[in-house]
Amino acid sequence: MFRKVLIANRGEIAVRVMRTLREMGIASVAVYSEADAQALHVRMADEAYCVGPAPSAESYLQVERILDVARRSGAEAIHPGYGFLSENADFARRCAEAGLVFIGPPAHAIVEMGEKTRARRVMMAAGVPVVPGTEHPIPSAEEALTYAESIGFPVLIKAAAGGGGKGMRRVDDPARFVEAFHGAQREAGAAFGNDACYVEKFILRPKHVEIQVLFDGHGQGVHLFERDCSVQRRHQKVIEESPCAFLQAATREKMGAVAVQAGRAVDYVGAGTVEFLLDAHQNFYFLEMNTRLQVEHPVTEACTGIDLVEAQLRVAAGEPLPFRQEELQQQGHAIEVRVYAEDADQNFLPSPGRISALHVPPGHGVRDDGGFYAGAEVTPFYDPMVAKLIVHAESRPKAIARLKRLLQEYALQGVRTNLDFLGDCMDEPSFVDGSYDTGVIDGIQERRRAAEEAITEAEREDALLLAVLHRHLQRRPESVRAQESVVEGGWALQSRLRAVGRT
Amino acid sequence: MSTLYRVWSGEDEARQVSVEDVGEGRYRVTVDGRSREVRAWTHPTGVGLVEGARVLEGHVEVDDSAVYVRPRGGRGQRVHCLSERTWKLRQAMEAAGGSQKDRVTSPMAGKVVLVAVQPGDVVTKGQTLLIIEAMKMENEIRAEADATVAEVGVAAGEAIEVGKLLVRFELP
Repeated sequence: MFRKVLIANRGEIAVRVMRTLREMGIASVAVYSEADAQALHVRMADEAYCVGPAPSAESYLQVERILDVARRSGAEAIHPGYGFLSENADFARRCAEAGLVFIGPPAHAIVEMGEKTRARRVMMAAGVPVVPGTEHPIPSAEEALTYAESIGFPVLIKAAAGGGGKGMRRVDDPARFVEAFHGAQREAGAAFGNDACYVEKFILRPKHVEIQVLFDGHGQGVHLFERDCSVQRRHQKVIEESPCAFLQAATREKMGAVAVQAGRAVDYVGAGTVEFLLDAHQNFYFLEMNTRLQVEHPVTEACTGIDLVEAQLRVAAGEPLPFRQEELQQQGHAIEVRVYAEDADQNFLPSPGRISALHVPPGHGVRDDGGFYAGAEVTPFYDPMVAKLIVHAESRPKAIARLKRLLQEYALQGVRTNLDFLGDCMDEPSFVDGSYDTGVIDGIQERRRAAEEAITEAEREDALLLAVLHRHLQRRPESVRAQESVVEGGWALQSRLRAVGRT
Repeated sequence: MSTLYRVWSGEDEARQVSVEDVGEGRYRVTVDGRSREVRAWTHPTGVGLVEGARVLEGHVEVDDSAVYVRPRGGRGQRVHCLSERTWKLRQAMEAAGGSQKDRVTSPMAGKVVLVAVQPGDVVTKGQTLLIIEAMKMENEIRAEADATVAEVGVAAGEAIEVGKLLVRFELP
């Protein structure tokens, strides 16, 4: 086993990887940007090295600098986390050339799965069902429009190198297609350094179900069952659970087998996720394979009892898989929610700022994978996810009740959060009965607006009482005045200065 | 000794609220002539209060231009709260004229990716004015009403702070 591992990432995932490293007695090396100099992942590490300024292109994506840190620190392997360099085949190759173990699949598997259109071709050849779409990236928006019209709207524009919803646009109206295509290319270029995009048929009201797979370097592969990730906003997952309440046992088995087949088709090694769209009739279509650890991996860990990061490390070190398919079981029910620093009432607008206080409620069956501490800053440079809360219980209704309790108790001061929004998700009837699809957020938002209007006078007065006492008890007249002067943005302040000037 | 506030949420009328410190951590809060006496204290994540035996716990997410408070078990609400003095000053300013609708300021810190308008352009409601990238997401800023652009305060590629003037419109 390795003695020292570098984590080429930040935030909660870097922290989460370091936790397993520490338990395994392996030293951890952090890299950080100037904006993250005091971040939690730096505090967690045994050694930490600055790799550049705040923008990730100048720090966390700097291959040369990260390899140099690995050399200087004596790390033997690099864990890329998710995002950043995790699905960068060139980086995987460069690690190998530098004599470092890349904790992830071999470069050729990243290439084949990373470019989404190529992955589709590989899957079609392997007999795995896929969603209708172009097989190659389309450079011109006009050409893409012609193709979109041939398969029929609505369509989905996707970044060929994409992931995490970046560079992705749903288009219903042909008149808006060209504008959306250019927007997707720009976003893809900024996020991945590659602006290639392609077009796919948009399957109406699907469920997003994915299978976790794990392969060792000795030809053994297993799946660790499914995750239902259908609660998404702006194509980014917000809530994930396992098992999927809607998936029939026979479909689960078939999907698992297909996922392992998909991995085998590219000689996969390590942890990966095969994503599918599942329609109302239990038909499923290959969407893409993510050749890395997923954000939502903890729900699988909760249900299978397997530490996926430990499994990644063991496989990367050349060990065989320590379990066989028939030894794996799904136990109970797990749900994960992503706590974001954002304003759900303003179309999920990011809300960066300093977290002045943070209370994470403990309790049975609760896991908190956070990337921040009280006093830490949520900067505008990176993803606004603050933490992931994971609950595990013996049944789905109990898991929902536990999560609701957790969301009521969890408190974070300094930024707006989606905690209330997540609480409302738990009350959404289609979520409660498990029938929800990827369109569920629209329904939740509608219900939120209705609930907003149905607030009773008593509830209003309670909030008023709490708010006014909070202001009053702060007893800092100076700071209160400073806060009040910025009411309504710059206008009030400017007007006041003008008024003073006149008199 | 009591302190006067004006408090409102959403489009509601501002209500006058008086908070009287009656000692030993207790406060008498009077709204519209009705008084409630509570024991209250702040803690790192918000404010706790006990009214009779009823416990009311409020997580305060932000306290800037308004207090966003999440009463436990209830809905989060954005409550505006001004001292009586500041409220009167604002009333006077608004009476003196001036509009808040004549400009768009940046709701977030980030980078300007694209500026889609220039001075003199006539924009229609919903039209994209510019795109700001924050946290690796593109955020479109759209016109809230039909208007003519008088001034554009930023250029593509510029890093901006919250409150930065983006576009100013000519008032009709």
